[in-house]
Amino acid sequence: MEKPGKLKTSNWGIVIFTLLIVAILTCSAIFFGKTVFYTVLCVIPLLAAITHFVSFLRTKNWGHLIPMLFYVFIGLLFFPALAFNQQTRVILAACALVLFIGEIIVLSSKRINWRYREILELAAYPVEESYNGFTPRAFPAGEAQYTKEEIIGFTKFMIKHVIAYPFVEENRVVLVVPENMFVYMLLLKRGYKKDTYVTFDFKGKVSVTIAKKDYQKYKEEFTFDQLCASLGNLFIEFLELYQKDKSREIIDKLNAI
Amino acid sequence: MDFKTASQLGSLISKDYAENFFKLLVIYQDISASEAASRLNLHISTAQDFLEGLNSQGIVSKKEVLEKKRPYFRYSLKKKTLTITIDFAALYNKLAHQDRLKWHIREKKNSGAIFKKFSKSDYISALYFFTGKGRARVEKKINLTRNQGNFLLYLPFPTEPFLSVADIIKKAKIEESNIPEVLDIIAALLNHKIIEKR
Repeated sequence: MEKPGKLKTSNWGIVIFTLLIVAILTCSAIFFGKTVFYTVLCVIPLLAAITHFVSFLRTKNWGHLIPMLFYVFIGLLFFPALAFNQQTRVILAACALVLFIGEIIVLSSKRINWRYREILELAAYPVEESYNGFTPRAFPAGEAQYTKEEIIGFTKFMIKHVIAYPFVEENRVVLVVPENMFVYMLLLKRGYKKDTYVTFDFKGKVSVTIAKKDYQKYKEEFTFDQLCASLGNLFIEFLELYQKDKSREIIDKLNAI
Repeated sequence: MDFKTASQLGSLISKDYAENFFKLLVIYQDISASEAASRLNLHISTAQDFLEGLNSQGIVSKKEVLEKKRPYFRYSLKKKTLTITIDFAALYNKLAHQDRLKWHIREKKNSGAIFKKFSKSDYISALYFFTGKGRARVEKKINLTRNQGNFLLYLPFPTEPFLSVADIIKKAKIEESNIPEVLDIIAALLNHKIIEKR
């Protein structure tokens, strides 16, 4: 099921983030000395550990515990560099190594990977026509059969597998497909209107809104209504699989991208 | 009574001196503008305009008289009561707008309009668009009713085939009684080039 990607490959966000961390570490070593450097080297993984712990609490996805523990051990390994003796540090390093292998396994199994790119790729897969016609309006993507309990259960499944971030509102649920899931997990962002999202109201109506920034991530300007319809159909298909207890197929479909 | 006549009458009787003026017209068999003006402490042209206005609406009659070979008008009240009746429903010609139901429309590509949604809903609550160019560019806003917002939700995207207004109304499940407000907004959207018509 190998298909050519329809999204642009450049991901400057990650590159800039990595360069920023390297810059902070370098500056702390040059300007503030060894102790501050080790402190920063410890604080960064500990922040990452907190992020994964909060993600675990919000998603109930055990996969987040492995990277969390890995970052905790890395933090401990470096922060008290002057306080811990050699033997303790060796033990910490060994634990960190084991957890690092665990993290590689978790990441390669895509258990905690955000599915932003996969969702956009799957949405674009059936769309062949290119005719720009972006509009920020919501696209009525049809209707689906579900109960309120089913759709709320579905949202829990979607957040657990980090496919979409849910908002349960008075008369509908909103499944947001953000590029960066952490901003929602850590409650750094409350509004979803600038992201791509699919809504399921409690009367069975489904609508799709694709953000301009996400639309611009495609290599081509796909015919916009077809792209919206495709994204809506994809989520309806996911819901139907969930209703039939075939959730595994959703994960397989995403992993196949 | 048509709206224009009613508004002219309303304008006349809303003058702050109108009540006293009518009192004079009831008391006097006929009265000239200068007599009324001196009695009410008004400028003669104000009294003249008021009486001419009443005459044009058929509330007073005027008669030309001569005094030392100089002609002037005397006014007398023709009606002792005045009823203003306006049929608001007549302001909207339903049949004239019915042809809009047959229009085939969709959102115009790159219209530049910004669609603001109702919070926690996909219905459009307001439309922002720009008129003019360069420094003369002005932002305009149209607040929409719930039915208009619902209609716009089902308006075909710029890449979709055109759809008749009647079909969009059907998809949006808009009630018959709310159709006029939808037809009204279509004309405004077309004027501002936010939608296009086939």
